Amino acid sequence: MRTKKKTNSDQLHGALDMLVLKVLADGALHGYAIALRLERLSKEALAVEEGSLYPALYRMESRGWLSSEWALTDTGRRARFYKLTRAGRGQLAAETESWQRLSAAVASVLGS
Amino acid sequence: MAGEIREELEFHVRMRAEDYERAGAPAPVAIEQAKRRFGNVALWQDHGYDVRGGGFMETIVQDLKYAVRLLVRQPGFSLVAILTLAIGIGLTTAITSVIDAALLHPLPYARPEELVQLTMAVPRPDRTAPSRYGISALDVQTIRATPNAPVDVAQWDTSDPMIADGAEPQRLRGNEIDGHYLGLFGVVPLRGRGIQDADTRPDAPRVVVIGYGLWQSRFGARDDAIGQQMRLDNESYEIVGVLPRGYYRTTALWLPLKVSPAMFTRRGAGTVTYARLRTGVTIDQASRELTSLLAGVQDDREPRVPGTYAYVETLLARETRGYWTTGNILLGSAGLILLIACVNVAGLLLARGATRLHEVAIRASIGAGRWRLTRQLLTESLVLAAAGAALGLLLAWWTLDSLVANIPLPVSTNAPATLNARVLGFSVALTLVTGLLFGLVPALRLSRVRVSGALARGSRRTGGALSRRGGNWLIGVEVALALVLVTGAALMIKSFDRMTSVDLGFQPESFTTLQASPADFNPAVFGEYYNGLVNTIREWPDVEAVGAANHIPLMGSFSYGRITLDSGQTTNVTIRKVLPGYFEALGLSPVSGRFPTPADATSGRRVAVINQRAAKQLFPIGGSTGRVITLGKEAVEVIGVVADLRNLGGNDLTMPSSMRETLEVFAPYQPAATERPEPMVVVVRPRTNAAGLTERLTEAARNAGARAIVERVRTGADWLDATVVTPRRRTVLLSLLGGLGLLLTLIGVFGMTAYAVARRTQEIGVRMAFGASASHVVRQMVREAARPLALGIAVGLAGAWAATRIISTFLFETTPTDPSAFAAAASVLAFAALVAVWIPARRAARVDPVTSLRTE
Repeated sequence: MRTKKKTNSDQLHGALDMLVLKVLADGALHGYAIALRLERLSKEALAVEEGSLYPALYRMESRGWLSSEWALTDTGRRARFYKLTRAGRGQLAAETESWQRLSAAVASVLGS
Repeated sequence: MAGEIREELEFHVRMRAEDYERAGAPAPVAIEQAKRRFGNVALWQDHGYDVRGGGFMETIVQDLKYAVRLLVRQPGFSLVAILTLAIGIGLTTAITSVIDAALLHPLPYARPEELVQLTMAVPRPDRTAPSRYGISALDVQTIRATPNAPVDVAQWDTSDPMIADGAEPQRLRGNEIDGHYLGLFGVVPLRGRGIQDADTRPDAPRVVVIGYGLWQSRFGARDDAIGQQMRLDNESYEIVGVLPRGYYRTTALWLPLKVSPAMFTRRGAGTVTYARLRTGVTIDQASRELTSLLAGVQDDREPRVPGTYAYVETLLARETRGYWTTGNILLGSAGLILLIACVNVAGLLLARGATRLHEVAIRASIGAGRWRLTRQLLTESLVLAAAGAALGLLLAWWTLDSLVANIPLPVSTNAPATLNARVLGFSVALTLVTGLLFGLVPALRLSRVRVSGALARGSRRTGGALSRRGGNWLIGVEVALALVLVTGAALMIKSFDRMTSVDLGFQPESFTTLQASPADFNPAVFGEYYNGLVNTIREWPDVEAVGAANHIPLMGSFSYGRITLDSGQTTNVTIRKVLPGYFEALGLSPVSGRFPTPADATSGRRVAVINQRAAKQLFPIGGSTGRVITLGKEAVEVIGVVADLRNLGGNDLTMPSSMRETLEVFAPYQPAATERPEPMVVVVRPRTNAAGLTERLTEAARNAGARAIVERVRTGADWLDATVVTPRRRTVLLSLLGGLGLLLTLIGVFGMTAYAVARRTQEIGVRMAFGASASHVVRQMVREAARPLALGIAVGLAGAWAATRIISTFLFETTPTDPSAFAAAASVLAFAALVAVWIPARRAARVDPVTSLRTE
């Protein structure tokens, strides 16, 4: 229904997207669990309002990086669980690689 | 989908709250903190929804919910916008409803487009319109005898009001109809039967069909009314039927149109002929066929003028002729007001849009596309329009009856104005168009917002550039639209003032009239009754003069007659029957000679008074008093001359000269035994302190002998009012519309300026901190608004100049481009608009520089 095109707003999401993909690399999680992991990874990721996580999840899902389904938590509550798709793993790998390339470049500049 | 999102978000907040609780917070605090941490759940739900999307219907529902929430969150804005739209949409709907009833669907019968009126037309070489006369009974007979004639025909006529005697005598209005009339319209009697052919024979027993209203009021809606005898004008009529409710409510009696020999002449007797075209027959076809059919009708007494043809005109065209101008003016005015309302709301939306930049930017940043945002913003406009329309329909429903009662359009009781499916459909379409009209520009502007810029500035008050200019030209547009309306109103007011300040030749405020008549329809009784009544009132110490006449000025009625002079010359005149004291009661003095006295009546002298115009024309060399003229078969002596009066009131210049410039003869009222007794109007000139006059006159009329019907007591001023009812209605209505347009414009100008001031608090604070004085700031705000105001007034004057010619036919001694009216309208509007700018601008000057800088 929606066509995606690169907008200038996309750069804002890059970091958050990569963190979410990274968190989900280990297995399926519901939104609150993702928020807790993100918190542990980086104090800044969800600094503003936690609610901002959800539009990001939906956006990534609509791009085909994530899939979701309703399931029960350990305590028996209904929650929506997200996991990486094949495309999501590819995206994570690509972004990790470009990060590493970038940081290597920065390191070599700073180190020389 | 929306439910899933909500569930997911609520799950998150609940989990967070439980964590806080485990960490030791009491439950309410935990929930409060969890919510704060999460942000506005509803907002994030909407944002999530923007990204995730859903089915088409679901998106609409979601947008609607969001729009409603937004309206509730900003009650001030919503209230002003909804009220403004309600006035625009409600007014347009109400006027549409009246136009639908009066002009589009005034005939509540089956296949109304087949109903026509038939006349015979004779081409006139000197004019485009032919002269026309009625179809005679002879023609009708021919049409009915012809197999496959193109039409069914029916004839009718109005009858003089009749006196219904009984326990409560009353005067009733009636129509005479032939046996085909009710069937032509498909009117089925509610009780009994209608008028039939057999009833119209000259020797047929007297029967009457009564209207629903009379059946209710006089017969208690009882079934046994059928078969009862009713005394009408001292004859006995059998009631044979009752017509359905609402069918010509003011007509109480439906009598058979008795066929008389006069109706069988070539020109008939002035009876009106209606017809129904046979299915598939066109107007032209009917006219052609009837022309050739009726050319063969023989009447040796008066041969047909060559070229005479059958004139066929739809009843719809007849009923609405001359009223479309009024209808168009009202629709146009309502449309202008609706446009002003739209501009107002567009201005408000633009101003509010500036404060919503932040929110829109956030939504754009998390992935809502431009189309998605535009759609959301348009949905908001449509919700606003729908809310306005709902309230507007309520307003329309609520004001419809008083509008119908005061609108200068004929709304028949047969086809009352209602909010029917057609009107509601129009209103819904109007609402959609309105919503798009005022919503599209602000929505497109807002959705084009640059994300990074708006977010980086992080301000909720930096929308100045987005809307300041827009707001300004909207002020100009509003002023221009309102000026057209106000100018129209100014012209109407000036014209009405002219019309009512015309010198009539008498002072309507100085007399009171009494309308009453005996219930006994007998000339001798009538003569005695009025003489007795006038003589009684003459004795009252607080009455200066009293008399009576069958037609008084301002009544709008005449009797035409013919007089013969000594020389044998005959002249057409109008004849009024008067009782002595009539002229004095009107406050008139003789121009020459004298007026009749009671002594003239008792002495049996036959005396008459003529007006100046008649004196000049009949006796050009002068000396009219003492001359004898023959009135019918009776010789009367002219004893005095009275001034020419404007009998038709101030409006009389709009009447044909044949009705205005009449030669008048005032003859004594002495009804002959053979005459149809005619009711008189008693004219009383009270001294200044006549208290309780109405009650005493009513009482006197009741006690003056025979059982009496007292119709009403009213002042000369009431009579004058009645002559200008339509012009007054037009004036009042156009003034109200002008006032409404002005009010909405002022609200708009005030609102847009107030927003501009609020938005620029900081800038103003900075300027004042650098030493600008308060008055300087106010001056600058006013100056900024002055340019669009001036431009709006210029455009408005040009628009008014082009538009006011549509009301030229309604104007009395006033041109549609009357400079004083234009100047008055422009000054009122300019002054009011400047005040509407100045009040909020003054607030800007009260800004405290320190506070304003802190608001960021």
